[in-house]
Amino acid sequence: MYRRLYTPPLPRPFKYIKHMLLILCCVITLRESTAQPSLEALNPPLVSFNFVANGTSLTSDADYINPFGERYQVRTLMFYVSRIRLSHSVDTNTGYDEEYHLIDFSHAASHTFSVKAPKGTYDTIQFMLGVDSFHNTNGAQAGALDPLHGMFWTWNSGYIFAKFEGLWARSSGVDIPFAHHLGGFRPGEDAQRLVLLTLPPHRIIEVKEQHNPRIEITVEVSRWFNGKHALSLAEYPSVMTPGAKSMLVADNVSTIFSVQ
Amino acid sequence: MKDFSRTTQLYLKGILDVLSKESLSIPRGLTTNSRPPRYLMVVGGLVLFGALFAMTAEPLRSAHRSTLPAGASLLQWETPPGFPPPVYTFASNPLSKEGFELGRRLFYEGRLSKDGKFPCSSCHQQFAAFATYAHELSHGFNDQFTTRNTPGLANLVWAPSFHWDGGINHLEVQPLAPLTAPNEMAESLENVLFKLNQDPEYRRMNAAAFGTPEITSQSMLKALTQFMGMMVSANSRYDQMKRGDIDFTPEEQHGYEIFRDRCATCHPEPFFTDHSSRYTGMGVTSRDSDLGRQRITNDRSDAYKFKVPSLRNVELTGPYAHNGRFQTLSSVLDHYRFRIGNDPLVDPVLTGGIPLDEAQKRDLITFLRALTDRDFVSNENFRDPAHSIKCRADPIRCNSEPHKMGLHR
Repeated sequence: MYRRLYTPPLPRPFKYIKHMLLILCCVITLRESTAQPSLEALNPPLVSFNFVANGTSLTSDADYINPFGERYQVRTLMFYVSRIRLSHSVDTNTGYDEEYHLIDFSHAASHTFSVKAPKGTYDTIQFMLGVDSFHNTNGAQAGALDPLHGMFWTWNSGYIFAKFEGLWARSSGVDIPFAHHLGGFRPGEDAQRLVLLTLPPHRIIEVKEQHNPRIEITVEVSRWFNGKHALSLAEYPSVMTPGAKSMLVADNVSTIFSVQ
Repeated sequence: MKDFSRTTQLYLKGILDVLSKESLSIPRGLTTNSRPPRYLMVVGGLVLFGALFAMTAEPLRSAHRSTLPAGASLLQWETPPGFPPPVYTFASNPLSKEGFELGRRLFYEGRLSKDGKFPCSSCHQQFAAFATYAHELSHGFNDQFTTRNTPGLANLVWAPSFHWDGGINHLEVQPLAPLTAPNEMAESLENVLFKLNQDPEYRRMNAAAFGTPEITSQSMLKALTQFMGMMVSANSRYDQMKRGDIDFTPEEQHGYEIFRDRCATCHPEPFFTDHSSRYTGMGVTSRDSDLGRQRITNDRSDAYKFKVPSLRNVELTGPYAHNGRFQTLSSVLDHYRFRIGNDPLVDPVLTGGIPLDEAQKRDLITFLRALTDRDFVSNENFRDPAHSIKCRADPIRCNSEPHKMGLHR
């Protein structure tokens, strides 16, 4: 009977169990509070790219005339976008959304995607055109950066930041192919370009519940040829490696975007 | 510091006590007596707090780090004695038996090529230290020659770049080059993945190695990297001598001394390459106008430069040079002895060539043969898995008539 009633004292370590639990709770609480502030919003804003040539909607079977009077057709048009950041005035911004997006003219689904943004009003969008040095030098990637998309130079490791292919002819005569594959991340060859677009007053977006704001970015293909430098197809029918030509074309590509 | 470690010990002792039966019978009085002073409790609490904080922080930061799927068995990486830490560490590609075996099968897989005839192993033959035996250039799709001489494969995790021109910056993406080159395997990545995903056995192996049955470019490349990365050659006579297991013959020792005096600037131990690109006075011929490193850097001063090849297993990897122009080690050395003296563009360390008399040349070659790693070229783990299965079933026929067993490549 006596033995039954006897409960042995708690072994020593159990005496501190309350302290340990308290410490664990503190750790968890503090860990939560130091975590990066979340960029998620209930209704993430959508960014979409609308392709036009000389102001009219771009199609792959139509002829267009570039600023040098050269007739061309578009077969392929693809580019990488990342480090998207929405901001308002100088000190309010969403932080960088580091996800990579491959915008492919031939795949409409790739033209629109959502970006992470907390509630707020935004009048500026910026993004990086291209792929940063880290992702160019760290082996097999997945998702938008999967080499399966054909945007990777297999013989000279590195991503093709933007690809523009099609047919062209001077004024009349036989169509011949042109191809601009630009990229380059090494010092002296950097073809990444920062694009910063100010939203006109009627396009300023507000991220809030029960509302899907949209940022419509116009891609004016004709500026690929003369946005910053005059690059006629006669002179630049083919750009296939990182280097000086890639950087010239990248300058132009950084000007094809606008919000109207 | 003392307090910290003592408190930690006390906590550890406490935990150990729970595990031992004796602690259950400790009279209450005694435990009260051994209670540590209050300040130690506080310090101990802080230590525990810090430790837990650090422990919980790590998984958050490395949320994207790949982990082994359940059931996969970890393969332990071992850096051979005297070798520096690897450049490629498998940190984002944890080594497993399953990953290695998938990579091994892919390395010998004809379906990686357009017509099924050109697996990686068609150019990288184990008995030739993973170069192509007796070929200046190797064969690719549709009876074409490869652009350059196939290099041997070994110790790849220590290499900062790959290919003769150093154009590949990471081991994982190297296979994309031969796979898509029209004169090599001539396939598209998309089609390779389509073919592999048709095969239930590959889907099973991919699930075992990476957790999901779907073979992706990433899982294929990471598996190949596990296989190729494990190709470590570190058991030649040279390595055995370095470890003190054997002594060099007088000829080998003499050759080693000449080597260290005349060759080691570009071919330093333990990899026998400094991984740099240099112009070694090959000249430009109508047959070979390969720009080499310039093709990668766009820098004219890099014209005709090629990477210094490793000399490990060099006895087996001939013919030599990027274009395979030297059939024998003797002819390579004669090039350095006699032919480059007058070339103004030759790498400065080679100005005037490398003087060697006949006895020195002979002993130098004897030393170079001591870099052959027989264990590496006969290692069962790197063999065609199909070969291993068939040979276990019929070892005598396997050795005498391999072609009749469908093992001829």
